Amino acid sequence: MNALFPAQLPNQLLLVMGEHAASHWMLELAAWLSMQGPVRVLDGGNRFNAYPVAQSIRRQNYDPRLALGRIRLSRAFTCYQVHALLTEWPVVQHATLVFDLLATFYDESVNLPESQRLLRKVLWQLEQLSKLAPVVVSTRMPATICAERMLLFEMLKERAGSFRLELEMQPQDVVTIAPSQPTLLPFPEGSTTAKSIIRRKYG
Amino acid sequence: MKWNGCASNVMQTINGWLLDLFEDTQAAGVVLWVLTDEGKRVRLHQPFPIRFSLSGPAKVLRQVWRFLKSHASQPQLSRREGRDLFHPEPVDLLVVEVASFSLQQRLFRELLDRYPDLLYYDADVSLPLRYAAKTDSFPLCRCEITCFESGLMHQFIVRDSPWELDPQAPALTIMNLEPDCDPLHASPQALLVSVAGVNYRLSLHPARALLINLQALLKRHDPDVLLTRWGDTWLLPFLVQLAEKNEITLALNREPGHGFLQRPERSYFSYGQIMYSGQQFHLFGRWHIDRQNAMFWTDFGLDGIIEMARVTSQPVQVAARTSPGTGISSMQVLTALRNNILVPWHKQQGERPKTALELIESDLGGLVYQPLVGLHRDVGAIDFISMYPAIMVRCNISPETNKTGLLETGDEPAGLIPLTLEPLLKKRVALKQRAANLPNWDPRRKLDKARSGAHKWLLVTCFGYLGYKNARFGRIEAHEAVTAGGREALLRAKEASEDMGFQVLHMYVDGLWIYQAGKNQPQDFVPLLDEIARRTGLAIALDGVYRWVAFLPSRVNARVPVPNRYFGVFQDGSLKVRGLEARRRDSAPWVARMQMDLLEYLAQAEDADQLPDYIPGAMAILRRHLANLQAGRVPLEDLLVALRLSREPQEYTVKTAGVRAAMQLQEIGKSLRPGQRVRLLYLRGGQVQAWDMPGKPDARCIDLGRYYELAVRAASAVFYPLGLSEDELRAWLKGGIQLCFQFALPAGKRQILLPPSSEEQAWQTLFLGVKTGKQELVIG
Amino acid sequence: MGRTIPSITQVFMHEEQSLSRFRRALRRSDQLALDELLSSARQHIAAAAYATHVLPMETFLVAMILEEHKEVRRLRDEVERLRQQCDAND
Repeated sequence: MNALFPAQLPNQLLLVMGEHAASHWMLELAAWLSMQGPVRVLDGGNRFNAYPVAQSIRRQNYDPRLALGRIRLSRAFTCYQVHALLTEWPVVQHATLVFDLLATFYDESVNLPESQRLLRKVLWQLEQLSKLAPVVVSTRMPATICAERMLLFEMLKERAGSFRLELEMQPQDVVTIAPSQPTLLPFPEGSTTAKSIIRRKYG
Repeated sequence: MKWNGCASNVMQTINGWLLDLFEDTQAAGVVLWVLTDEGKRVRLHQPFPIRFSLSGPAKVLRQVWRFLKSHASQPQLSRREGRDLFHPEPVDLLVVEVASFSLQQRLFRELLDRYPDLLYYDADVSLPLRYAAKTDSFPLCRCEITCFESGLMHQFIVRDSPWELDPQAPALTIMNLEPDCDPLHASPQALLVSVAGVNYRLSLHPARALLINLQALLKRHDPDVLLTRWGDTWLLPFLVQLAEKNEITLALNREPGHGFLQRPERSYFSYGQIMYSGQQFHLFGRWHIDRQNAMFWTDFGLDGIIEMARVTSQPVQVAARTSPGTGISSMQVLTALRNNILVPWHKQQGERPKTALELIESDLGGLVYQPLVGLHRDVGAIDFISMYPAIMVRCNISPETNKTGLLETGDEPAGLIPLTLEPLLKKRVALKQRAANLPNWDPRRKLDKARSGAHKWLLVTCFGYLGYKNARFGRIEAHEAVTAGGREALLRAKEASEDMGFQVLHMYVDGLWIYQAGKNQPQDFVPLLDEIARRTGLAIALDGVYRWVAFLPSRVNARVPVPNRYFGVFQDGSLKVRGLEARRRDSAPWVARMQMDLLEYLAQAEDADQLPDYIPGAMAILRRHLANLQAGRVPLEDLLVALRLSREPQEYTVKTAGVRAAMQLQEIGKSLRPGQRVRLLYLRGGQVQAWDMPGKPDARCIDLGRYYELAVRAASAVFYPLGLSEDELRAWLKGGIQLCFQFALPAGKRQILLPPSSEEQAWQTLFLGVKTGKQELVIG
Repeated sequence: MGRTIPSITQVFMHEEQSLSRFRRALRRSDQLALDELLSSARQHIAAAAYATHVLPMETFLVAMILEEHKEVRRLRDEVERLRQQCDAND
């Protein structure tokens, strides 16, 4: 696991994208960070399954209860709540992880202009946070039935300091979905091509 | 509430019931339709200004003030403080008042566009709820009205409350209207009308005659309720269109000159299941209820729907069509308005931070045990009465209150949620107690049952609603506190049972199934119930004592018990069946009937020990049904399975039977939405046919083998707990063998030999009468 | 609001699945024994949910031992009964 993550995350807004909002990777990251100190989590898509985190901590021979106690999280179920939580949160020096940020914004019970308005504010808030401490945001693409919400994703991508693509799929699928632009990867062991950071799901 | 009218100063007093209430389209205010004690239907008008509030930075509020000063809707503006449930401090408000509901709706939208960052309160509350908050009204409330001759209201006083056990009920005039067949299945030829005890059959052709006759009936009887089938989805839109085309007046509304309210169909998620609600057609001054589109028609009928409307203060037409979640939400909004708590336009608050460890410890639901599979005798079933709502009330669980210890009472004043639920819970308990004492012939039994059904749904829903994302007064911590209380109560009940010598056979969220040798009378359980009530502070009741009950394993893996798949017979001989084909809405009626026949027959056994004597007869019943199938004596309607679609047909990768049937319908332009059920027949060669396709399918194409399979599986669920496995059952059905099996009552297994002759004997007694005993039978 | 932490049944199925490679490589007779162990753990799934252990598999393992111990006790009693029967016959 140590090889997966850098010793220190930079103070910037890192965007991670993948199927299931790259939750696998994010949970690993949460586990890794929690063994070193406090972590803050905002879960926007019901993604924070604490069991794999506990297992991951245990694999490192660390006390899972101790580490899990260092992760403080809040869940948001509407985009209004995402905004409200970020407004209420005090400034901290340690990392903030946002799981599936856009999930509540993709929800069609809020109209698109309203979602956009709120997302603009949320992105500004995240940017402010990232000046003091690392902020890692995960997301996924909107479902095909609400394709016009793609522009929310574009808004987020524009603001991100760096971008990481986390793919969990069969090797044969890789060619067809490789992004046209090379992705950024600010990690020591990473290269800048999409291919090298693809983690294959084994099974 | 008093209004100083000026139209005429001759005043009259009216006593009656409130039938309907909606916005007046002619003059600013509301229209009330009242059914008077003399049996007249009276239309009244009342001015009713509408208020809502805004809060935000003082600078912005001043801007809004300036903007509204010169606004065309001429709002009245004021400043005051208000209470937001989620804020400890009072909030500064700009209060806006306009003359009518529609003006308020427009103004709110306009402000929202201009000032999206402000917080809006009381902005999207419906008109009936606002009126209910001001006057304590509710549908069919008893009211005393003083008004001017012009119909202008002077004073409106409500004389009863929705919590009364035996309210004075008005005599409503009901007109039943339905086409002569399901319009989705075939095209109707006539309209069946029944009113005042007379039935009419009006041909749909020629249209003029139909419309004139229908209009005459409407005029003569002036019904309060149009009770239809497919009225929302087909009939009323069809009639309105027809009347327009023929330029004939058809006064479906009682309110003259008013349009209709049509709402489109929709699919939505509820409790992880996709639901479908058909398009709606609301009337004014008169209720339209479509039995096919009323959520709970089959559960509790018109009485239950009216009760739902009364306790939630939603209009009857709305209550008939919305989910209980909407009902609970209305009740909460009403409590808020009456207690000067602001109703936020949408909830802002996220979860208070918790650690990942706390998340693991709090994010779980009720305890669902695995029962001890098999047959048990003398089992007491005990249930907490409306456990979750009772916990909310007892522990004062509400978004704004502090957490108490598990099942402990707090000393804070009652919060919004307990305030809302307490009267409903009290009424439910009172009706439940009364039901236990009413004799069987008492007419109140049926009414009480319907009303109790409505309460049950509301109470069941109120817990889920606390954790619903769009619930205005929801809070996830409160939701979690309730489940934690529930788990604690169940475990304390388990401990009390075991302390008093009972064996716990099964536990399911709020109920326990317990056994102790020699305890099989209701009074044997009273000391335990008292002890549990003492330990938990919650009311618990005996659901009944089973003569015998069978818990079934999973169909897939016989070693795995399933929590909610069982059947049993109470002391009085009544059956309780859960999770079996007989209870499932997707089962073919023939399969469900067959299973129910088996169960009803077994239920005749006075005692579990006698059950083996009933096995030959049960076998005969099964074989008889199978013979009917084989001989083509089962009507096609009884072979229909109704499968629910959870997505659009194209979205399925695996084309299941339901999907293929839905696609057939789609091809002929009858599309189904997610959440709807598709009715179909299994045909030979793995084919299916959607029932709503034109043309009747050939009975010879029916896949009898498939239905045989379904029936044997359903029968096996009944025989399995008696000790007869599915393989043995199949072998027996093939015929010619003797069947020897262990009758599986835990106390004392018994070897049973089932020779074919005993089954034949049973067949003759059951179906042919004893006299023809000698006759040879050829069974298919 | 959907749940964030998977239900105990989901967790159990996940643990079962993670044993699937192990199970596949076992002899058929051992596979059946493993299945029995797993279903005996499943009987205590509600208690395991209530336990809210951060590593639920540990609770499942205890549940398996519990059922095994019940079986041992049952067999011990049976042996005792048979021995007494033998003694009586002697």
